[in-house]
Amino acid sequence: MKPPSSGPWLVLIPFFTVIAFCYATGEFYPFSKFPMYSKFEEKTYVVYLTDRTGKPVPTLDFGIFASDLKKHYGDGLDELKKDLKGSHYTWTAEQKAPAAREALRFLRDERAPQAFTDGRNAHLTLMDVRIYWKDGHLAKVEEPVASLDQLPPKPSTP
Amino acid sequence: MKSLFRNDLGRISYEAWEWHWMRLLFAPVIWLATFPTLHFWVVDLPNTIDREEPNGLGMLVPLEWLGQPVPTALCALAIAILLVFYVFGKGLPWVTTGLALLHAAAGSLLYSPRGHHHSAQLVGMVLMGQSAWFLYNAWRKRSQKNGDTPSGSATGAVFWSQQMIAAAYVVSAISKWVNSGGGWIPGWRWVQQTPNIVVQFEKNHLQGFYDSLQMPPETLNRGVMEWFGDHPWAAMLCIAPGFYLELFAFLGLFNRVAAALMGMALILLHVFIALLMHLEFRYFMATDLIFLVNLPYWIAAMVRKRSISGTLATA
Repeated sequence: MKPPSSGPWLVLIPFFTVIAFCYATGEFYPFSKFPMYSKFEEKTYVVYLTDRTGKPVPTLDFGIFASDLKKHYGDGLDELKKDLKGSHYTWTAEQKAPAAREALRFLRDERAPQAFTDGRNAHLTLMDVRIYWKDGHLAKVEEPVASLDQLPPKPSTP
Repeated sequence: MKSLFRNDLGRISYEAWEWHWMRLLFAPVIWLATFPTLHFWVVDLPNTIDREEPNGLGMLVPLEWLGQPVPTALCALAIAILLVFYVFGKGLPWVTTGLALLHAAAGSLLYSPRGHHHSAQLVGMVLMGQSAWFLYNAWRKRSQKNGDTPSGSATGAVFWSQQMIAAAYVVSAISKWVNSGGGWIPGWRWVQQTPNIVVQFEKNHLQGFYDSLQMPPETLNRGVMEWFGDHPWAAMLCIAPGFYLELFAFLGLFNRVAAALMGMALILLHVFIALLMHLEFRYFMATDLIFLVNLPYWIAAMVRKRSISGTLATA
C-alpha cells in the first residue's frame, strides 16, 4: 500500500480515526478509552462476603469474582452520589447500605439464585474494606455494610 | 541499527504468506476472545445485559436473546465457519466483517456492564480494522478499476491491524495523561502518582484471596510492593516507561524492526503487569506477538540469510 502523494501521514487515517472514535464513544465494545489504572489514588476499597458467623465465603461460590462484585457495589455507590454529598470514603455504613443491598440482591436474584435455594446463604453479608496508603504504611478499615436478611424476599414469578 | 530509524511508514510490503500465517495464528485468538473455551460443546454467553450500563451493540439493540443456548450455539457455529474461511483467505471482505460483527455482538454480552472489563477489546478492534481495510480496498478496486495483488491486499490488512493496535495503546496513554490531572508534560502527573500503586497491589491481592479464600501466588507482588513502599522513586522509575511505551506505540508503525521491538516491549509490559498486579492480558499479548513481532517473517529472514551466506561460502 503506497502512501498517497498528498502526504504520507494520510496512511495513518485509520489510526487517528480510531483514537477519535474511542474518545467520542467512551466505551462501545470493542472501542474503549482504556481507563483502567489511569490514576492512582492513596486509597481504594475491596468487598468480600461473610456468612452468619462472620466467616468469609468465596465469591466464586456465587459465580462472581470479588473484583466484579466490587464493581457492582461501586456502581451502586455512584448512584448514591446523586443524593449524598462528598466522597463515599466519608460515608457511614448506613449510608452505603443501599448499594450493598443492591449488590446482594443481584447475587441472589440474578447471578446465582441456585446458591440461595436451601437457605444456607440467607444471612450473607457484604463487607467493605477500605485500604489507605499514608506515610509509607498501609492501613485497612473494614465494616459490614448490609446483610441479605435485610432484603425483602425474591419476588416469585407467576 | 540504521533499519530501526528508517521511515518506511505505509511502505512496508507484507507478503501474502506472512498474512496467511497471521490469520492462522489469529483465528484461535478470535475464537477464545469470543468464547473463552476450546470445548466447542460448552460454548456459553451471558444472557443478561446491564440495562443501565449496556456496552457496544447492546446499547443499540436488545441482544439478550443471543445468550440463549440455541442462538449462542448458532453464533459459535457461524464464527467457526467464518474462521475457516478466514484462515484460507476466502471472501475476506465479508468474512472479516461477519467476524467483527459477531465478535462485537458477543462482546457486548461478555463485557457488560460497560467499562468493567478490557481483556479482549484489542482483538475486536483489529477485526474492525481488517474489515474496514477489505471493504475500503474492495470499494477502491471498483471505483478506480485498479487490479489488486495478494501482496497489496495483505500489506493493507496487516498495516491497518497494526494501526488498531497502536491506537489502542495510545488511547490508553492519553487516558492516563488526562485522568491523572493533565499538565503540559504528558504523563508526568500519572508518574508522580505511581507510588500509590501499593494500594492497588494490596487490593488485587485481597481480591484474589476473596475469590476462593486461597492465597494467590506471591510472584513478584509482595516483595515489589514492599520495595515500592520504601522507595517511592523506584515505583516512578519502574512504572514510567510503561506509560511512554504506550504513548509512543505508533513508532512501531515506521518499519519492521521498530514493529518487532515495540511488540516485544509491549509483551514484556504485559508480563510485568501480570506478575505485579495479577492482571493477565493474554489476548493483547497474542495480538502484539502476531501482528507486531511477526515471528514467521524473522525466522524466514534468518533462514534466507543463512542459506545465502552458505551459498557464498561454498562458491
